[in-house]
Amino acid sequence: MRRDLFLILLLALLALLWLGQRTERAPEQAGRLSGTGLLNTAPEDFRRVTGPEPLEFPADHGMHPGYRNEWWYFTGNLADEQGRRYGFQFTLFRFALDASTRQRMPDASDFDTDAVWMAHLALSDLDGERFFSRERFAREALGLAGATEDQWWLRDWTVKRTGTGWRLETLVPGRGESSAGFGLELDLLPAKDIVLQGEGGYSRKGPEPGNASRYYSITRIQASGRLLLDGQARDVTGLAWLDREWGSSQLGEGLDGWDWFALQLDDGRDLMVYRLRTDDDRASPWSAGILVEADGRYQVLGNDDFDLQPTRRWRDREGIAWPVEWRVRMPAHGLDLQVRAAFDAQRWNATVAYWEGAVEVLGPVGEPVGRGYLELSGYADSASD
Amino acid sequence: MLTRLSHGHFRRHPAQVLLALVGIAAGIAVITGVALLRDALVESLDAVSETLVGEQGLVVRHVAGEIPVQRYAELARMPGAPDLVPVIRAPVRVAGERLELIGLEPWSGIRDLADRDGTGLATALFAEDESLPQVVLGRATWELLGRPGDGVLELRIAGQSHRVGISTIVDGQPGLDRRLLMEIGEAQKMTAMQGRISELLAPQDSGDWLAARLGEDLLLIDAAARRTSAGDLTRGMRANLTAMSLLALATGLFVVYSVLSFLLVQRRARFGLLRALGMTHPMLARMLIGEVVLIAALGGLLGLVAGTLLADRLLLLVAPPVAEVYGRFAPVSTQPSMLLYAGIWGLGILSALAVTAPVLREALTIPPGRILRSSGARRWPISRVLALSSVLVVAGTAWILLDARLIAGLGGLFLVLAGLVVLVPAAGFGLVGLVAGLQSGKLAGRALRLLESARGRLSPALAALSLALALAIGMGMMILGFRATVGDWVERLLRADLYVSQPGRPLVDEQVEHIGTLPGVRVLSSIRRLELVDGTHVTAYRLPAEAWWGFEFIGGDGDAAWPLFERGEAAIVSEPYARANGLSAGDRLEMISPGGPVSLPVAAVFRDYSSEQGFVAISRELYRRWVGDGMHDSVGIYLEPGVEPEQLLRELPAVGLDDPQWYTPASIQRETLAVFDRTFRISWALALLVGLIALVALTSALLAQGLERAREYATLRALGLPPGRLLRLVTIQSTGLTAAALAAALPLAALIHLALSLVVQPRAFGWSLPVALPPLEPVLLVVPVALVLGTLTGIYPAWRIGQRPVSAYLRADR
Repeated sequence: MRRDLFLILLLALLALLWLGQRTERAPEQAGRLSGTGLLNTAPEDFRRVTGPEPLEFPADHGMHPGYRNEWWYFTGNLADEQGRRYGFQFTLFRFALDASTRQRMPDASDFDTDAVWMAHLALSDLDGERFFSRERFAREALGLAGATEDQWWLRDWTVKRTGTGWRLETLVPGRGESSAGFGLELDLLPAKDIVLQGEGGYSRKGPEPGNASRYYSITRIQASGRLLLDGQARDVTGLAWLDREWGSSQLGEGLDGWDWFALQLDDGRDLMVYRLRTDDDRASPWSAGILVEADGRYQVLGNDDFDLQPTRRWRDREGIAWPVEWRVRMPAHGLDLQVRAAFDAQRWNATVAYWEGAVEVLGPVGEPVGRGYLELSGYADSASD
Repeated sequence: MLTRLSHGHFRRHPAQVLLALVGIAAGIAVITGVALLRDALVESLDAVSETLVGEQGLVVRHVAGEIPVQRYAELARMPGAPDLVPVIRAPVRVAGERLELIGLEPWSGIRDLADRDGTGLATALFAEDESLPQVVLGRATWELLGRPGDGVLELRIAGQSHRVGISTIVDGQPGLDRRLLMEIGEAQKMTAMQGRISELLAPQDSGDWLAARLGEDLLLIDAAARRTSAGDLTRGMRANLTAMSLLALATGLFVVYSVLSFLLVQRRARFGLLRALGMTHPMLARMLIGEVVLIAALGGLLGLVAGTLLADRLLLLVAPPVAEVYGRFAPVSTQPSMLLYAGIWGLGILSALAVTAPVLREALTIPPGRILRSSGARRWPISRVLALSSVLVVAGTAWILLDARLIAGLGGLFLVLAGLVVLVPAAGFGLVGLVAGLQSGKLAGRALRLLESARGRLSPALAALSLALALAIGMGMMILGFRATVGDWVERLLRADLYVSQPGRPLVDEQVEHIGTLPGVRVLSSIRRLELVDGTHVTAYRLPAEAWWGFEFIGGDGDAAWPLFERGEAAIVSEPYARANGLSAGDRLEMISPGGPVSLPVAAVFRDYSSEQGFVAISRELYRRWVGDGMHDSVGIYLEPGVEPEQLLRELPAVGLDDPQWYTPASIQRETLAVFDRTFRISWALALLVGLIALVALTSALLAQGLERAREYATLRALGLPPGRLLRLVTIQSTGLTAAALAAALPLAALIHLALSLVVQPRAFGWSLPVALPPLEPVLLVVPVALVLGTLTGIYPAWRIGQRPVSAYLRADR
């Protein structure tokens, strides 16, 4: 009888297992782009930045077809009339497609495109320690995305030139209870002139001549306008920063990522430094920076001119450790700064995983001396390797 | 102890346990199969938008069918616009399979759909270093296409061939079944849809924003509307399936009843003994209920497995016609849930307990110490049977007549059948008795009379058998009758000698006129189809007077309608359209034509089997006034007497058509019937399934009766009946029982045929079938098979008796 019982139970178990397996659903799959991967490879037919070339404005505010990638990068710190503080980031990325992808079929299509655009909009509520972010893509077709000298846009997120400055309008509409919208309407008026990074805008990032980008910045921009959050519009003012960069395969071999600092000091100076990080977590000799005086004069910095040391790491839910506090030293210029995240959780969790957030700049004894933005890249990629 | 008792009995009678398991499993399998199939044909049909933008996602379509691509660009750039996904959809053929090409924007909200090296759908479709356009497809589709090893597919779109590379195979996305995902730009080139897209997908929460901005040309379709539309499309098909599954379950339960009651009757003597030994009623009840639950539970599990496999097979049968007839794409396999399984399993156990309740009650009435076998169950007086039957038949008929819905048609038919089935035992045994009387004195007469003594036990089996046989035969009759009707209809409708069209694009007026001037052409007809904003399907006919009579008018006066139709002053409507919209000849028809709202008189209603939604037929003249684009979908050519179609085909190239396709009426009729056959494959499959259940019912009933009577047969042997005579006796009994079941089944089959043709078809699909004599082929097929099987199942018990000593069967305990 035991044997029969065993057989019956076995049969029932087999049937149950089969039924269970039939009702299982495969897990959702989602992918993420590697930030460094996007920047260190490019097929041969793309143009490369191999030496200094004169830049012309406003023409060079528009896009530069023929290069693998290009971006328009605003960051800034704002405050409303009640003194609440906010950080913001708005970036347009253009990734050119290679020729074989573009021309598989000879006929024309309305959707034919040379490039794909990605936009990142983030808002940090510094007092409430809340981070809002939205990512968008569009192709460079049907007028969905593009950049001329007068306008940069991805769908309805636009930056329009207004004579001396720009008007930025980026709104994430709120839809019902589940998602309150957020957004920015800012007038951006440069307080300093354009500065050319590297050698007259030729910014080398590796040993090969092509491991370079064309790179210019406006390090201090007066921002004023409205910020939308929690269904409320608030009048805000503050300082913004613009970075413009384009190139192909600009990152050299053996790089894991970078740590980029854009600091606006209360004494009127602006400091940009970035550390290109090698596989073994050291600063690449191609790390560089720029120090802009209050009157707009500037000095390009090399790897030996500054020292960046992480002093605290924040571990996110995935277990990735992001260095959110730093000591920045430039003895030759008498600078010894502590840079710390306004709050830790300012991590992008979209197609590209990186940390980009508002930071506070403190002096040697902890006194506030400025504000800025910090970008940490490549940590999620190396964590998943 | 109780378990041991049950076990000991089952151990000695494995065949009966097996039969009970098979009976339950068969019933559960059919229910499961149909439930899963229903799900696939409603919830998952065309589930691609759910897969792409979530279950509650929205779809935007254009009233004229396609969205101008600039409309999409405008919408997408408006302030506050949601993440819209532009989509191009087109039917394609790959390796003989009908699939759908979905061109979409991988750089939109759906970019996480596929994953390759962690970079999403976009990387898959924009794969660099690939010379061919890339597609993403689900694993099930990949397997459906025979796992192409070289990673290259050959697509046929509107007569053209294209090669594409397989970039990524996605797991666990049934909404992608029978679909190929492609980058929208490549898809637009392949489908020659420059300037247009098929639809926009939008996230669920963008409904208000969209509704405020779509304008009059774009329609917002939410998930509920999509499911309703899919549900409406396949309603008729599903209703037939559901009805069949319920009838199959009923038959399966008959089998269960028959087998379980037999298991009980065998142990009647033992129960008497146990009661005498002090076993109480509750103990006995517990034991018997335990047995039923165990058998039902195990049989139920097996049935769930079998039903799932069955549903997947049926889905493969049903998917091609669904794509062909409705233009919708079903998943490759069904998507069961544990909840559904648990529900059906519980239902199976409860049903088994319910049908065995009378048997249990009977067992509990056995008095202690009763050793001798009862001579059979109590029998209802014939007057009570007749009364019950009449009530059921009258109630069923009344329901059908008073309620015009499909559910009433099916429910009423169910009641009428139930009413007639309760008469089957009386009729069947009456017949057996009649034959026995005619053969009295002979072995056959004696054998048949012996059956009478087991009447109580055999009655349910006989009824089940008749019902199952009747269903199999009746469905076969309906399908064949319908097929003949459709064949006649097509033949009558197609009056021209040759039909010409251009795949993927319409003919223009100049080309049509040019054809008219070719030598040998006497006169032309043409058709043009359009779908109005309000969803009405309209066909515009240019007809010579002789073609008018290709329509078979079932409402209105054809003679009087012709001039009105010709001048564009009236429309005629197909029967399904008339039925769905409650129209008849003389009513007025309100539509939103391309030129605005119109009201037209309905001049006549014509027979049509081409679509369940039905359509409105208007004249070419009216179309010209409405649209005026000079387009024709196909042209019918009437030749001068003596001119052969081949002669004309030689002239056709002069017209300058692009890859013209031509058809003769015979080839269209062949193709129509081929579509018909594919559409009804599932009905055939179900008829076969019911036939198989009938087989199980037959085998179980006859084997049970043969085994039950083993002791009687042994007595006959002991009294000197030679083995050969015994064999004849037993086979005469089983064959006689089968013949009785068949005799009762044939009139029932004719009734099912009539009910399906005259009640269920019109209510499910909107069309009626002309009354005709039922086709006899199913009878000719089923009757001999059943009789042979009936004979064979008699041989086994007789053979078993021959194998063991007679004394073994004579012990009272058997």
